[in-house]
Amino acid sequence: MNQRINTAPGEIGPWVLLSWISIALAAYCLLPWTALEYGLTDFTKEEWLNALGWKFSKITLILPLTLAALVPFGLIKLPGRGTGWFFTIASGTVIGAVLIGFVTTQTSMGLGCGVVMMCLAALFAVGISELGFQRGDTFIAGAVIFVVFMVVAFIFFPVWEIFRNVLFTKNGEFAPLQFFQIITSFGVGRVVWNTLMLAFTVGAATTICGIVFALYSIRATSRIRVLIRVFYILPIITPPFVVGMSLILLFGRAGMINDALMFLLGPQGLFTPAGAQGIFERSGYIYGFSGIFLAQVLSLTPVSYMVISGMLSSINPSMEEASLTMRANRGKTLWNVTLPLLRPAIANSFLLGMISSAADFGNPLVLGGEYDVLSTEIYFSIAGAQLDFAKASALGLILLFLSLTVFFIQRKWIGKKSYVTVTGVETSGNVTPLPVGMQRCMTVFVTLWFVLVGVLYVSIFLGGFVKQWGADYTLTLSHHLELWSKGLGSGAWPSFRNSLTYAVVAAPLTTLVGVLIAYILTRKQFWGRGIIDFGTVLIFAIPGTVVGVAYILAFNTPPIEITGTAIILIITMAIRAMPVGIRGGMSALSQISTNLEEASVLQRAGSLKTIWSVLLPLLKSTIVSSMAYSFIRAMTTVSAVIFLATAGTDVATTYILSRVESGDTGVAVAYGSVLIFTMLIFTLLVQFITGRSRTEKQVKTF
Amino acid sequence: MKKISAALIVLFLFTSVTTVFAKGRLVVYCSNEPFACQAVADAFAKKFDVKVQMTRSGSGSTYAKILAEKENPKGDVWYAGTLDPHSQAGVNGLLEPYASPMLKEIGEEFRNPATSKQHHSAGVYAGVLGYSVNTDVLKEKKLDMPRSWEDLTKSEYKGLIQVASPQSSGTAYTVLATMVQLKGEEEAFKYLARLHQNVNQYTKSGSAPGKAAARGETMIGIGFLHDHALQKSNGFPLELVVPSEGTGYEIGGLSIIKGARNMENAKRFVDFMLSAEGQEVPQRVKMFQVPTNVNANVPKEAIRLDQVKLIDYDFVKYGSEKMRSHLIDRWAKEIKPVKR
Repeated sequence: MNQRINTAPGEIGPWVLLSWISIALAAYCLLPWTALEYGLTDFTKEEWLNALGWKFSKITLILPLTLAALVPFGLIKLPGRGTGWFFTIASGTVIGAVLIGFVTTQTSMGLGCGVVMMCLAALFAVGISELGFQRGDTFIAGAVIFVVFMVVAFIFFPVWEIFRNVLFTKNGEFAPLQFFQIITSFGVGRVVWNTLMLAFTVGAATTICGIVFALYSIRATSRIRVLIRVFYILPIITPPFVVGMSLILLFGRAGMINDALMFLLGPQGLFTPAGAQGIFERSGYIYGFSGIFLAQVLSLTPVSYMVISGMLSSINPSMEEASLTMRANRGKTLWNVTLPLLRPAIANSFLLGMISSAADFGNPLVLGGEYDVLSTEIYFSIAGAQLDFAKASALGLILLFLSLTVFFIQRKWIGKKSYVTVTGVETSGNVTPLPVGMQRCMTVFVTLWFVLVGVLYVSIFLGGFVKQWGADYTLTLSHHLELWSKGLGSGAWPSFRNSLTYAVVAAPLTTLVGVLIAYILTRKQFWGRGIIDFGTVLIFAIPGTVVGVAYILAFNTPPIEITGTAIILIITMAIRAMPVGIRGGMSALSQISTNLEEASVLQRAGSLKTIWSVLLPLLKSTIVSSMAYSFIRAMTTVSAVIFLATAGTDVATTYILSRVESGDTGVAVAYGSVLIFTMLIFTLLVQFITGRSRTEKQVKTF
Repeated sequence: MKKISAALIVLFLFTSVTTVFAKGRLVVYCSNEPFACQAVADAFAKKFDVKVQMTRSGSGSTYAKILAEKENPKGDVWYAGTLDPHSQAGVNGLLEPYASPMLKEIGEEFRNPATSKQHHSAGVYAGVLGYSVNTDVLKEKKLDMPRSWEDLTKSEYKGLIQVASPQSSGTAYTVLATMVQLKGEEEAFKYLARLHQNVNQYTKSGSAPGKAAARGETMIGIGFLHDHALQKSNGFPLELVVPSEGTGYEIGGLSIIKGARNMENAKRFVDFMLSAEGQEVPQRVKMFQVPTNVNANVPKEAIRLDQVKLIDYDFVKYGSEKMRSHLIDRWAKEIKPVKR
């Protein structure tokens, strides 16, 4: 028995145990055991000293003593599985004791405590791997524990807090019927109906537009189809609400198009026919369903295009050729052969559109008017005059339930099927062109679309340079000067710097955890895999606003008290971008044969070594593009961070939104255009460095 | 790959913060407009060489935050925001009584306005509720200038009025409470139903209608007139109207949080904000509320309290959580969903 463990691949020597113990000891002595009162970026020497464990409370001295007592056990070898059992039990007990200590005294954990816990978890991983978990592979055991910890702490625990707020009253009494009381106290039916209605129509419309674009880009013979290949990039680099903002510039009450119509057909218009005095009046038609619908269709169609075109390009043309040989015309072939073949992609795009629409927060916030949807209603029950956490939680549960349902339908019916063909085989060039009349219609449609999108983006750019859109079109630099020229400490700089910093930290974190999860899910079978699996489902399906509410509820009180800090924003950004890392990792790993790893393991390399020298080089491009894309998502995300950003940790998107909300459209679009521009340059840079358009592939993992 | 990581490292260094040390600290919870909060925090920090940490959020959320931190207060002083939640915090024993020596310079009714009457809070500014009319649009439409709350329900103003939703805005709640105090609850809701027919949009933020009126997106915007005065001073064609029936107003509260960790600096801050010098700070960033210090310069754009008809606003009754959610829920159920 002993023999087998000794020769197992990835065997670790006593120095590993000792180094973890000494890191823990050092962290205990030097780093703050309890949370610093004013945060990690802002402390005095005295506050730091006071937060040290031995100064805080003498009881904590038990910890270093216990750790010291572990040292001899790292050096000697206990008989049988003794070492394994010993470290598992010892570290497990200490972790439990520390947790209980913090919870019962209602103290917040500090950085030092975090490091100590991490070391203890590592010792725990060593212990259970000695006991045979993961066939004695310490690295994998550690990775599993790390991933399980992340999923439990940052997904299950916050979601549970939502449930707790609904199930229990403020005084902690169990009140299972509270949910129904809350949702019947105001018109929740209308809000749910609005959300569903919007999600359904947006899903349908994006799918139809997606089919048109896919057919056009792959089957049409016209020139402008090349343009479609670049337009997928726009929604990735644009913060979600900027499209809504630009719609206001064009169609708002003082928008350009309304002004023009006023000028032509208004009460004093040029072409007002006699007897029809003022057929056109300024109105707020863009605020409400029509506006949100338009904004969402504009920003979600490229996703649906990517899904459908991926499948379309992998359809074997021989089917269609057969149909044509049987003397069916092109239209009939398209309808009876091509579209049915696309069915899974169409269904997938429809469901994706539904989920994204229901989860979208920025556009309803900017354009909503009185059309309330769940995501904005959640936000205003916390951020508004009410501050009702129970109501926010109840609404959050409804939204979570809706998107989980759609997600499971998608997974059950279509699942991976639609993704298989994405990188499908090259088909021979003999594809059926579109029917002539249809192609003409589509050309008109696509041209109109591009003109609209073009005008929208131009108006965002120009909006930053005119004094007051709609009232005074004098060119001015004042918006940009207000943002960028008032020194690094004010204007847009703090939020811009925060966004960059957090995104730079979050991107590698996302990629690391994402790829680890993908590795564990594709390569490993073990007890507890279900936890990770369900955790990833939640990560994929949970809408941003729900994450925001859950995090406020979970992390505002000890033991993990991190609201208002940069840490929580980084974690939120990482979790929000996690699907990218996981999907990217999974699709890359499923293309790599396990033979390579087996060969490496047979040569007695441990799994750390195997991953490092076999898998990582193969995954390099996935990792780079996943990092880049997580960075972009972190920069442009708004739904979750808006709950968590405070004065000191304001990020670019929340800053812009607050300016939109208070009506400073000029400043907001000025900032927005700079942000889009930065992202565009970054994307091009990454594409240049990685040598080819990786982002195109990444966008499918939306 | 290396290029990226090098670039990222540079970026990270560039963005990392530097720490400065000063004489003591102060944590301010601020419920004013962000730029006013920043101006006040900077002014105090500069004058007393204190390291000020400012957290801005609405008065409702700040109250909830202080309540949540009752056992272990994180904030020291709470500046601005409507008085109601300050009052509530005082009644619930979350605030430290402090009769500042500066109170002798403060107008009588603002010295101790809160419910508890134990100097838990002082009034730091006052703002009058009303509406502003875009005169360009008024001319274009050839309409008469409205002068009262009742005028706003006339059918010729259909689709021309904007006001915030009380579900998200404290300003709009003041409108709601003012109407109830002017007319009684039943009549007030009948009035709001008629007004609803003329409203083109309920905005989320309380200051948005004034800005929309300035741009001509709407003809009439209801809100606190100091927000609108800001737009007017930026050159927009606005006329500010204080309705003839009388109107409500808000008092900005200023309170010290019980158990503040930096009590000395908190008291110093209260003294500073009650002094003429402190109250003139927000004016520099164009916040045109009326200062409560009698010696402070009243900005010429501000609406003076002694020149308009104000109702006897009951801050105790209408500041209570129960009344608040009752009125807001009733509005959301009876007024908001009605077709127009």
